[in-house]
Amino acid sequence: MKWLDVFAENSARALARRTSRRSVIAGLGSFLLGAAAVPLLPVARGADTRPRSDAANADPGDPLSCDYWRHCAIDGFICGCCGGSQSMCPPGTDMSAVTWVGTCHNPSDGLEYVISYNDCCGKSSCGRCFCNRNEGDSSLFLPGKSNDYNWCSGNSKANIPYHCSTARIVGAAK
Amino acid sequence: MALGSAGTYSAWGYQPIVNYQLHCMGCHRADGSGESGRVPSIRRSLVLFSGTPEGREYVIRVPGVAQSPLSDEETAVLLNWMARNLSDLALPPNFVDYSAAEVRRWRAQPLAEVSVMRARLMSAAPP
Repeated sequence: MKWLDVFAENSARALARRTSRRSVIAGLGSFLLGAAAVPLLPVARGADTRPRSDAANADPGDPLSCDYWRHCAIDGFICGCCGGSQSMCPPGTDMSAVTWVGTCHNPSDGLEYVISYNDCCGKSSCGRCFCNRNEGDSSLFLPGKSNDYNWCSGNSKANIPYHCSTARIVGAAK
Repeated sequence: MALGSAGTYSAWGYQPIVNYQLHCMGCHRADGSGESGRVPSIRRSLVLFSGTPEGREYVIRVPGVAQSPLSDEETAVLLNWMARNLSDLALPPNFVDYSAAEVRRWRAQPLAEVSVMRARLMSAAPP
């Protein structure tokens, strides 16, 4: 096994001749800094569900606010305040298949978008974040253009109570 | 039918798909399949009914078509778009596009007994 001792000694001496102690510290520092940067990659940020109010964002504003751009023709409780989101119903409720549809102006790109205000049904009224903006809303005698209807009544589970309203983007209105 | 530019068939300048989303999709759903027992599907009936004069009259006189805020021209373009894009049945070679004049004529007489007439047309339609 003597050859192994010689090999190890020669390798260690060669390494010591080639490198300085400071370079070891510098390398270790770079490694630690790199490891600290890993959580900043998009993988971790994708799990961050906090709303962004960045003006350059394609979906600007606070989805929990009545002023949020997609809420321009909403009439009801904002599902985001009730355990759901602007596109998903809270647990324990079903999304109505029939719905009231309108357009809203997206301030970030200046385009109009078709928005579908699907109601979430199956629990009593949420009661939080009531928002009633009614832009483009028509009278009850134009049923397809009125948001005063309880759209839960069209759900396959008949006569179930209204809980809250979503505001889903269907597509650009052009 | 010449569709021309968007400006020729819409006060809002919308393409037929957007007019469908705004004026029909709320009840008939995105694919036209409707809601069983409440909102009829158009995925077979529209092309089927379009083959007979009585069926075409029905299509234009149903409340959603006759009373839509779209113009006669927009409505005709939209019906033709629906027949081509929301149907389980292939468009027959002798399919005749809906015209603005046809829409104007029949939407002036909205249908009261919608379910009765639909049932009669469906029973007369080929399986």
